[in-house]
Amino acid sequence: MRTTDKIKLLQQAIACFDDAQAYKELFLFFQPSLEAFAFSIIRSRELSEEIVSDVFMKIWEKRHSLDKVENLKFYLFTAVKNRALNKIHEQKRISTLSIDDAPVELNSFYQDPEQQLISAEMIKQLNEIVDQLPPRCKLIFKLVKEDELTYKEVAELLHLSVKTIENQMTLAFKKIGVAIHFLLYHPVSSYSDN
Amino acid sequence: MPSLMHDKFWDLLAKKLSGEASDEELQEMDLLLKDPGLKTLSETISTLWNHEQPVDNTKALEAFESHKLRMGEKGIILGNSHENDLSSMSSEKPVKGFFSKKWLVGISSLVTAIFIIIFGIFKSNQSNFNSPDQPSNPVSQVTTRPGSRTQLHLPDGTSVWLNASSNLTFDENFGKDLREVNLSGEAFFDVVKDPSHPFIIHTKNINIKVLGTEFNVKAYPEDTFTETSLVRGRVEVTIKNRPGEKHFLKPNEKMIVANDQPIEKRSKKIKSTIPLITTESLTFDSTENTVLETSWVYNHLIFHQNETFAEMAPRLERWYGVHFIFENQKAANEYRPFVSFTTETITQALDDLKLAYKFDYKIKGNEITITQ
Repeated sequence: MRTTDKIKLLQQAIACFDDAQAYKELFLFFQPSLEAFAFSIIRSRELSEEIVSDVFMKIWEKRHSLDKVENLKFYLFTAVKNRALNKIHEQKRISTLSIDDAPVELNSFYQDPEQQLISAEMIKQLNEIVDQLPPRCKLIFKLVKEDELTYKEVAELLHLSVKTIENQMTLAFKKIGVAIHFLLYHPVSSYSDN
Repeated sequence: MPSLMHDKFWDLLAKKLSGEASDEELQEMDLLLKDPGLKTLSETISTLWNHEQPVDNTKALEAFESHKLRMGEKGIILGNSHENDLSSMSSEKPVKGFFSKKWLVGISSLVTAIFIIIFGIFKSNQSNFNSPDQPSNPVSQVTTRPGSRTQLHLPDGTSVWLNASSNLTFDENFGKDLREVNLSGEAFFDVVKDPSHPFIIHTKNINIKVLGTEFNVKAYPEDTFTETSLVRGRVEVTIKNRPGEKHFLKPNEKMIVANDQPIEKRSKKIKSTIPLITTESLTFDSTENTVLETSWVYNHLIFHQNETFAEMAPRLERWYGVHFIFENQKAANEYRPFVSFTTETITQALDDLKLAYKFDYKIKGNEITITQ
């Protein structure tokens, strides 16, 4: 089943049957991405967890209209962003979204042990390269790759133009791609000398 | 390979992999991929792009448990709003069968040094007596050693967190009419709602009857008090030496019952100032953003401001599986501001306490002597 279909089903189960198990599944599915996204904005683990919890509390309270939400994933990301900005506003009296030095924890590239296309050492080097992407670029890359948001959604979420998202994705792919090219065609040791 | 440095290729590849590419863009990409070098590269990247890390939802599960507690604190009940439809009330699906694998799988992998004994057959002569308070024929038993905690699921799906030095038993009749368990020590229960099968916890001094709720029971036989702390729902407490009385608790309340101890064992202070039963509010700690009574479930060991070192010693002993000997009485009877431990080792904890209480210590095996 496609992820979006599964989410739709969970939404309906919660909205129509008050299904606590479906609610738990939905929470487990989105919590890690949402918490990581909140952390990129607010930079506090406790507050990030609290924000996600608050957003999900609202989801339960308003569950009977949950099946009317068209794009739940985007809705959740937006709710987390708004809440995080509100929290920052409460604390610092400013509430502009600044992602230029946002902390982003990207899941490492992962090599299926059965596929030996790239060695473990290369994966390690690759992850170091991804880690060194500029924060803004990394955040956009994460939202597109891991959270499977569209360019348009990411643009809206981060108050940027779709063109900027395209450029940042191009930048990320170029850095990663060129690195892979070198890792594939040059011995690992000579890469670090280049 | 000159196009390697051209942004167009990377833009197209990014769009292709994230599903953003238009038909024209895909065609354009196909042309570029005629180059075997670019083709290999693009295949490698797409393999990496599509391979997700295996999902580890341990953290998300923990977050869900604290989320549920927070909902409880705000009085939001996670469950069905229709009174008579109870099938979806449980947060865990009920587990069929007594020795189902899930029962064991449910035991939290985070907790170290867990000591579990499951008695398949445990029929002694004694247990043929059908005492109304004690379930007969205990068949399952979970015991935690000092210094270890565990989480488990009962056959009905109820989650139990068992604190250190505690023991939980239930027998094969569990779930038939009643869901009865025996507890010695401390446990946090998230009971699956099932009004036709009331859940009853027997401790040395009190019995607690519930339908579906979250609460903590602290009933170490050696302690002066038995404490029942209610997070959400409703519980009914009966005290063994006061039959006929029923006490009800509201959410965010705790009931403290003085244990029935030989008179000479009770200190004068307790006898004169503390009545047999008191009800008070749960203590919310704003610095740690947690309810003190249930904080241990999240691996937080928190002490009140109004506890002396000697009073908090038993909890430290159970938490770390150690034993204290107080040579320094001044330190033992001193009150100090609130302290909290999570991942600290016993020596780290002692070094923190040392600053507050001004003492020194010697460790020999698991015996810790508090010196001047």
